[in-house]
Amino acid sequence: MFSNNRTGWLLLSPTIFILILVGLVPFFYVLYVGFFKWNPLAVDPSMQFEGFGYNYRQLIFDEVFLSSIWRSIRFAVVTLFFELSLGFLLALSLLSSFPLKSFFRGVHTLPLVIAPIVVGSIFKLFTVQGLGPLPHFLKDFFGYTLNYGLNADQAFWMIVIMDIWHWTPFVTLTLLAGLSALPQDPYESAKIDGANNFQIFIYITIPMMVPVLIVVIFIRLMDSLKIVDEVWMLTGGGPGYATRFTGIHIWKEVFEKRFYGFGSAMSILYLYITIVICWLLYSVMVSRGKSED
Amino acid sequence: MKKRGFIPIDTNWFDRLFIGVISFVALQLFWMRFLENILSINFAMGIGVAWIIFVIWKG
Repeated sequence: MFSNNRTGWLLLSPTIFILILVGLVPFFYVLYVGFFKWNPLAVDPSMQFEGFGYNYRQLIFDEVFLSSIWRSIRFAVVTLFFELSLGFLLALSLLSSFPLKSFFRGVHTLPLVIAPIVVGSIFKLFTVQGLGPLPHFLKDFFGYTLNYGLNADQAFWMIVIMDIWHWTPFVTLTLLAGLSALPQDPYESAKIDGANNFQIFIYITIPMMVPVLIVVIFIRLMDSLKIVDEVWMLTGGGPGYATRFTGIHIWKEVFEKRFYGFGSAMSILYLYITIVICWLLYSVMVSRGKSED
Repeated sequence: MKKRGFIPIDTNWFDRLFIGVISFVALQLFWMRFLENILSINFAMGIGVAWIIFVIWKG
């Protein structure tokens, strides 16, 4: 097979080389480091092998790490739900024509081009107690005290709102592209058969949009699970452990405490959990899609 | 070539290897958390390897 496709393999080789260099090599290095006890600032800064399960055994009893995983999953599910719902609504509304549609679409897309760390600082400037206008207005007009430096629930939901603001335009644009490419024949047939708009949406639009929805769900799910920079800027993982998502936890262990081995094991375990979640979701969605066919 | 075994989806050998490895890791972690005080992790290793072979063969 190889000799028959020599030119093909030759053309593919730069891509394969780059993929191995930037994908597989770092992965196997992190996997390797994850089996060692290694802190370069410790009394013994060398890498010490204490058995394959040393770091992983510590991890599965580490309540802070385990709770950070649940927190990240909860965050991902909540943001995914709101981003998909809002994104779908906005994409459907952008299909119809209304005054200033192009202007709205442009403004709506702006958050997408802002770097996550800048999104975090924008929200911080807007919402920080004593400086931002939002807590001031909320207190004056509604008597509501917004202080996410003290209130764990407010901190979590502030991160959720920030993520929704940042990433809903991506969902909207992707779904809009999918909706624009749908064939019109089924819609015309449904209208002739007397279906109303709700029935058309449930029985025609959503089933035809499943492939696009799968892609959007995967991209957003994986992005949400690895959120770090916005959270780092807005709350720093606090108050307490309220917004310490797994990405933030790994960052603190690796760069603040210099637990390189432990941090690598955490990264590998978190990658494993992400893969399992995505694979289960994919299997369920694909099998449901097949059963509906 | 895809086939249908005891796993309720059509899979090729790589899918079955993937499922085997994923469940192998899950078994090791579960064993370390709950059973290692009673039985050595080496039992989990043996069961896990046998499980991977079984999944590739019959899954």
